[in-house]
Amino acid sequence: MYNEKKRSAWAKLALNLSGLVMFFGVWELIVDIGLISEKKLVAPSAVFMTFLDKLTNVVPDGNTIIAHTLTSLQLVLIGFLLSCLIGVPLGLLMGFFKPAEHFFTPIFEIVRPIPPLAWIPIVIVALGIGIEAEAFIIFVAAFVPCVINSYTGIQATNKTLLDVARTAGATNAQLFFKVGIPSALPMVFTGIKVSFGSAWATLVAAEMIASTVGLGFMIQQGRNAVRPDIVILGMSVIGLIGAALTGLLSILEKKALPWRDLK
Amino acid sequence: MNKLKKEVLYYGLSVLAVILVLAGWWAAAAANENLASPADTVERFFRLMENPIMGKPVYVHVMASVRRILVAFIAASIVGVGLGVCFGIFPTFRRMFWPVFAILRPVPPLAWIPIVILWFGVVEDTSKYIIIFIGIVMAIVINTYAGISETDPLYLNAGKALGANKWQTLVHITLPNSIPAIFAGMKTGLSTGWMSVVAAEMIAAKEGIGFLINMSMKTTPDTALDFVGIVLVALCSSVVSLILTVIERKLCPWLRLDVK
Repeated sequence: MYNEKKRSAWAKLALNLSGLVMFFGVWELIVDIGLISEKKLVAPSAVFMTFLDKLTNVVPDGNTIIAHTLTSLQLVLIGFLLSCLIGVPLGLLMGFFKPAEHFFTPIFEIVRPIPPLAWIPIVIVALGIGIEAEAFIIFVAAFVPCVINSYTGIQATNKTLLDVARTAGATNAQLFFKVGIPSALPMVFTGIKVSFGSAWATLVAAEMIASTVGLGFMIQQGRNAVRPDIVILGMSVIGLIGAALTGLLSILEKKALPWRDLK
Repeated sequence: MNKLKKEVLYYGLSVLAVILVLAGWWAAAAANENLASPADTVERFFRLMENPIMGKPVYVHVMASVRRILVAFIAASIVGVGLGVCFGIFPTFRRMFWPVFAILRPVPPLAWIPIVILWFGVVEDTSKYIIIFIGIVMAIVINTYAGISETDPLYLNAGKALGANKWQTLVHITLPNSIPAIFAGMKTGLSTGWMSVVAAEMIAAKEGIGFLINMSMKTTPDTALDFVGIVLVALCSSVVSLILTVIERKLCPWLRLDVK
C-alpha cells in the first residue's frame, strides 16, 4: 500500500539529495541575506571554515577541536565499557537465575528512574570533580539499557533448547553458558548499541561538571562567547561521531552474530 | 524445595536487597560528612515544606516541571506522530526528508541546549520547552514510522479487498495497529524528556525540580536537597508513565487478550 512506486536508482538519489540540498540551502540563504543575525546562527559554510580554523586555533575555549574530541571519546568510552562490563553480566544473571532476579531487581528499579544529571551533585560530593565523576554520570546512563536488554534476551531463551540440554545432563552452569548466553547475544548486542547511544548522549551532561576540555565543554563555552559557529560545529562533531560509532557497532554485530539475519 | 519455601526465600531476597541499599547509603553518608543520609533526606523534605525555596513551596516546583514536560510532550506527540505518519505513508516525502532527519537525529538533546539558549534566551520558558520537545520528539517519530511500515500486509490487503481508500486504511488499519509502537516511543521519549527538563532547569530557572537539584550544589553542598529532587523526579516520571500505560490499554482493548 505504502510502497514506493518504481523509481530508477538515479531518481532515488536525486530525491534523497534534494531534501538535504533544500535544508542546507535554506539555512545558508537565511543567514546570507541577513534574515537571522550572525549572533544567533551562522551559515553551514561558515561552520566549515570554523572547523578548519579550530584544527589549530585554541581560542576561545582553550583547546583545539582534536583535543576536545579525544577527551570526550576517552570519557565516554570509559563510562560505556564499564557499564557493559557490569551491566551485561548482571542482566544475564538476573534473567537466568531466579534468586539473582529477586535480589537485584529492586536495586535496579530504585536506580533506574533517576535521570543521570540528578546524580551530579552527589557524585561531586562523593568523587570530587575529576574524570571519575564524569565517567560515573556516563556509566549510570549507559548501564540501564545494558541490563534491561541482557535480561530480556536471556529470559526469552527457547524452553525446548533448555530441556534438551537438561535431558542431555547439562549442569546449571552449562545451561547458562552454552544455551542461555548464546541465545541472548542478539539482544545483548542491541542493548550495547542502545547503551552506547545513551552514553554518548550524556556526554554534554557529564561535561557540565567543572571540566575544562571536551566537546560538551566547547559548546558551553561557545554559548558564553556568543559564537554560534563553535556551538554548531560542536553539535555536528558530536552528531557525526555518535553516528559513526553506532555504525561501527552495527558492523561488529553483523560480524559477531552472522546467524542473526537468517530467518 | 517446595513452592511456598521458594516464594518466601525470593521475597526475603528482595527485602534484603532494599535493606542493603539503604544500609549502604547510610554507611556512605556516615563516612562522608557532606553526603546526606536517608534520614537527612526525609528531614530535608519536611523542612522544604516549611521553608520554601525562592518563596515557592515544593509542590510549585514539582508543578513547574510537570507543566513544562506536559506542554512539550503534547507538542512533540502531535508533531512526532504527524511526521512519522508522513514518513510512513508518503514514499516521496520519506525519500526527500529522511536524510535530513537522519543527520539531525544523532545530535543528542542536551547538545541542543547552548544553541537553543542563543536563539531564545535563557530567561524565558520558551527555550526550556524547545529543549524538552527535542528530547521527546525523535523517539516518537521513529516509532510511529516503524509502527506504520510494519503493519501486517494481511490487514492492508483485507482493507483493500473491502474497498478502503487511503484515508480509511490509515485511520482504521495502520494507525490503530501502530498505537503500541507509538506509545513505546512516547515512553522512551518521556524518559529523555525528564532528563531534558532537569538539564534545562539546572542551567537556568527560578522554579522546578531541576532548579532544586541545582540549588543543592550552591556554596555548601546540600545533598539532602538533591536526594529530595531525585525522589520527586522518579515519582513524577513513574506516575506519568503509569498514566500512559492506562491510556494505551483503553485505546487498544485487543492487546489485553494476550495477557493471562
